[in-house]
Amino acid sequence: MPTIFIDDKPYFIKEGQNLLHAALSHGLDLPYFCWHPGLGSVGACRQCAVQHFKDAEDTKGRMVMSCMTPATDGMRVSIEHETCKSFRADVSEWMMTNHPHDCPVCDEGGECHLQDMTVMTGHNYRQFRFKKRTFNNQKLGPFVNHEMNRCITCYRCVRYYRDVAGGTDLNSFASSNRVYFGRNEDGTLENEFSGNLVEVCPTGVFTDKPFKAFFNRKWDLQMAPSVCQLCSLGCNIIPGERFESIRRVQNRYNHEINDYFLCDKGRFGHSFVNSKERLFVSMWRQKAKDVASEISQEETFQSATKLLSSSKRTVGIGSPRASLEANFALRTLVGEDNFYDGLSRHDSVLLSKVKQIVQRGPALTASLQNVKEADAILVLGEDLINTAPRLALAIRQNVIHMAQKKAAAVGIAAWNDLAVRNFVREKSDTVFVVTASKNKLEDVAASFQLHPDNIACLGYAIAHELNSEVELPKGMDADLLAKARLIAAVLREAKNPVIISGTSLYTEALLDASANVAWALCRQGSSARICYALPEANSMGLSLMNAKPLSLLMEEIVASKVSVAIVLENDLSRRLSSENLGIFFKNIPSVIALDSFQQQTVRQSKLAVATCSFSEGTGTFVNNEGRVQRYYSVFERKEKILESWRILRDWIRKSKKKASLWKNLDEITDDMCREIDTLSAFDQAIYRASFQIDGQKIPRETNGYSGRTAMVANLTMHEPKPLVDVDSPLAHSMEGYEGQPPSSLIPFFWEPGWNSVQSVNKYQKEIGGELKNQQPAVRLFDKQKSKKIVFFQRPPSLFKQQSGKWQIFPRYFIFGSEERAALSLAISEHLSVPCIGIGHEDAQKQKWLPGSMVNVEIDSKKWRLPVVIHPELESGMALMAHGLAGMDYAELPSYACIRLSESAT
Amino acid sequence: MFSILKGLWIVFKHGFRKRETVLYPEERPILSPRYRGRIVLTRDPDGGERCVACYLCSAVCPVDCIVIQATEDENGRRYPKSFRINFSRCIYCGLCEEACPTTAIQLTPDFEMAEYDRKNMVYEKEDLLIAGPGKNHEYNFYKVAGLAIKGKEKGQGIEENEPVDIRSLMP
Repeated sequence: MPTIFIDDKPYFIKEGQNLLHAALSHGLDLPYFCWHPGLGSVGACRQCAVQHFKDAEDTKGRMVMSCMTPATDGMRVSIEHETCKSFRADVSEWMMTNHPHDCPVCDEGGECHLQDMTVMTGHNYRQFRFKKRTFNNQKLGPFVNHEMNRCITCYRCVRYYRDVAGGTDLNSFASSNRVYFGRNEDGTLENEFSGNLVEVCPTGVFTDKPFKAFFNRKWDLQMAPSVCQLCSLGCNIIPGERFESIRRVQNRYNHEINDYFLCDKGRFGHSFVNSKERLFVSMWRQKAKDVASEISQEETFQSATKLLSSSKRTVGIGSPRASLEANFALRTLVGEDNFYDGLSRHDSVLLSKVKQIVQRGPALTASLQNVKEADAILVLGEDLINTAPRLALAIRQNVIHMAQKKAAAVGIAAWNDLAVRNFVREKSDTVFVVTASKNKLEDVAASFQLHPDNIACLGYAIAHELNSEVELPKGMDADLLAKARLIAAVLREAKNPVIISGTSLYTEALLDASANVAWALCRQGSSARICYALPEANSMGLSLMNAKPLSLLMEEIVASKVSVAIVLENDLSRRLSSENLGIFFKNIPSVIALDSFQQQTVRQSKLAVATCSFSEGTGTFVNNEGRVQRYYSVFERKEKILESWRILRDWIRKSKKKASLWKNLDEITDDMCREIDTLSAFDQAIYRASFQIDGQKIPRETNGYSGRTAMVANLTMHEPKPLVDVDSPLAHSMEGYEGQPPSSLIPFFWEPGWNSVQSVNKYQKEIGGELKNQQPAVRLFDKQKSKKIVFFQRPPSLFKQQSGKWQIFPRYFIFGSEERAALSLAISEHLSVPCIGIGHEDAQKQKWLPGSMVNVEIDSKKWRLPVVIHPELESGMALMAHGLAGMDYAELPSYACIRLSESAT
Repeated sequence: MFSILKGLWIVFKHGFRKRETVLYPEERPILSPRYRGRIVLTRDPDGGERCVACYLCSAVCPVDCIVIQATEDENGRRYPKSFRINFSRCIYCGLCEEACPTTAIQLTPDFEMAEYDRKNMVYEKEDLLIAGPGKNHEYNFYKVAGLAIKGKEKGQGIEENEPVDIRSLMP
């Protein structure tokens, strides 16, 4: 192992690191700006200068930029040498000449990398007597605020935005002392990952805009480790709370999933917990047409247990966005035979297929890290940017990773960003993205568009190329076969390819085809992995509950056999057609809905029970790869709202006469592990409430948390006792263990001298690698794989256009298709509008223009929507917006007549 | 014996000295402006609120008796939506005044804050905000901070250049 000497102390390093990386990995304090572990080195800011010596005798040395200098065996450098130390202070001083004196009103203040580095270099007095440069700001939309005066021209923003996130609308302008970072003109940042600019920018040029309206300093926020609720990837987040409202969400580093970056939906979507639509009090409605009246928690309990005890048949409807614990509690209350999954018909079928594929194996599921490091990627059908955005970014990171590999072959280090950039080709030759419509990965991946059935056929053809056991679909044209051959050839060469697909096109054949490809690769001996984007955060968790499909229940409901239905955190208007929904509410006398916000099912139910949201409750999710992750409550409201599982537990206690059932989360967790085989490894994923370090719990509040003796002084002069958290090893307090907790329990990143998000450096074993107290991930499907492969053998037939009819597929939107994210204030300013996407050819034939209003008729139900032209769409198919507020649920894919709306002409 | 008499003599002599004790409340002591008494929030010379809700006073407060919530008005000025000091906890150490970057929070020579009910010692923003600039008559934070607010665009502050024209081709 190479050794370098920093200030005469030996340090072991890894081959191929630069000096800055090596020094920071060993926990040394070396200031830097333009370098970022997710971006590499460019040597632009000159802040990380160190002294490099020839040998042990050399005392003078020469100054080098540590981020641009490879660390080699036996190298002698000094961080503390006077020359480089004073140089670094000078660099800080230069940067501060034009930096405004507005830290008090800057949202970065207190967690600012520039502040930290200025203190670290020791610059403390401004000698520059001249005027400061100013810039005009731009309006960059609802997510990011722009204050250009504060810029220190490190170029991190454009490097992140353009090179990593693939945005095109942010750039650098002008030259020398007037360099400006912004858009060509005012306007919303187009990229779906623009929120990361807030964390990437080392100073306050880009700040969190929604946070600005009700700003609090980092030290005043109560924070807890949490998991994103808004898609199936399970990115780790840190929500921050003050005065019982979630103020902002920050990235929680997890090298296996989201590393340094989140998508904008995850960052700005969680403020739905503060929305006006939140349900804080339970509601009771005697008759269907009555206006609901508010009832207390005790009254809720009484009326619920009364309904349950007099019920002839009670069914429970689970939810893919409720925690495992809540679903399990409902299952226990109603019994496994009466527990239904609460999914639409297609979702049920697809989810059980996904579960079957990942359980049966032999291909393992891929984490985002596997995607980043794969040497070939095939995306079949899934429009990732809208259904699993962070996965799309992982593919972009993969393209950079591949370029680094190519660069390494000619002796260029992976961190040497500018040089590596030359190896990023216009189109990657190892990433293939085949989708129904444009997918926003066209600029990096070899990408083309096909009808979903044809994508599945292509998948089958690729699998056939790899293994002739797989049947070749009939009637494929030569062009498609050539593509299949090309992709198969690349995949065959790859050692660890990843096949990505998902459920959003509601095409089962796509899942079959992707599994066939992955398995055919596994048969060859490569360690191919498979990755499915699923509809919701706990879809996979729900699939482990052995719930029956909701569509089976509909038959019983039609026969009026159900007297009470308990709907857990689920809006059935998103799962059932309006006709079926009508039957549901008409034929079931008592519908009890539990949820944290107002939605259609809650508004129509007899009893609507207010439950707490992820911010106030603790629970567990299983993400799309089978990874078990717990999210912890961030705060507790004064008017305590209970978690769903606690409410259901109280009902079980009463109805089954078990007075001491599940006193805390650990007890329900134990029961769950015992009853559900697949979850037996669950225990290792979580820390019990009794877990302590040095006899202390882990504090949710920083040691600078202020205002304790005044926060509730307007209500009472008696300061309340700190709340006791019986469910987790975290404490609602600033007192507790001050060191670094295990990775899944980190409530915030902070080290003395490192107040900004860059303090994550101090928590990592090696910069950019795993965390120091990394807890091994629990991935449920990593074991019990059978070696025997049985390929799926029913390729679909190629798509044939039906005259006068269109096959309609759903189209998802990152901002809008998730019901809760749409309630968040920032995202509500950015919502997509309902529309129908038609191919260019069809539109020309029908003489429809963009914006023409058309009637879409599916089984005598009509939607009136404006036309959007997708040039690439095959004729005979159309994409209808899905999941947007105000749109009735449509069971897709199905055939529809589309006619120009008469009222429009 | 002699020392006892000497002691008695000294005590007796003090009986004819000028009295230091003031007959409060009939007579009021004159306190220096630096006296650390009741805390106020001041206004800048233009009459705008000086406090920009930067949270430094609440952070430095050793007894954590200050709590603030920041927000912004339509002119782009940040101000405290709420500012509460629990004077039943305050130790009048003056660290908040020292930390304040805009000289908004100031301690005054008013110490008459006794109350029969502890609740009355919780001062909200309307109780704290005064009409004048307090001890510092000049300072106006937004004139020297780079931030633009309504009425002070970029480049109009003290020691500021006109905003850069990024489309200019001049070197």
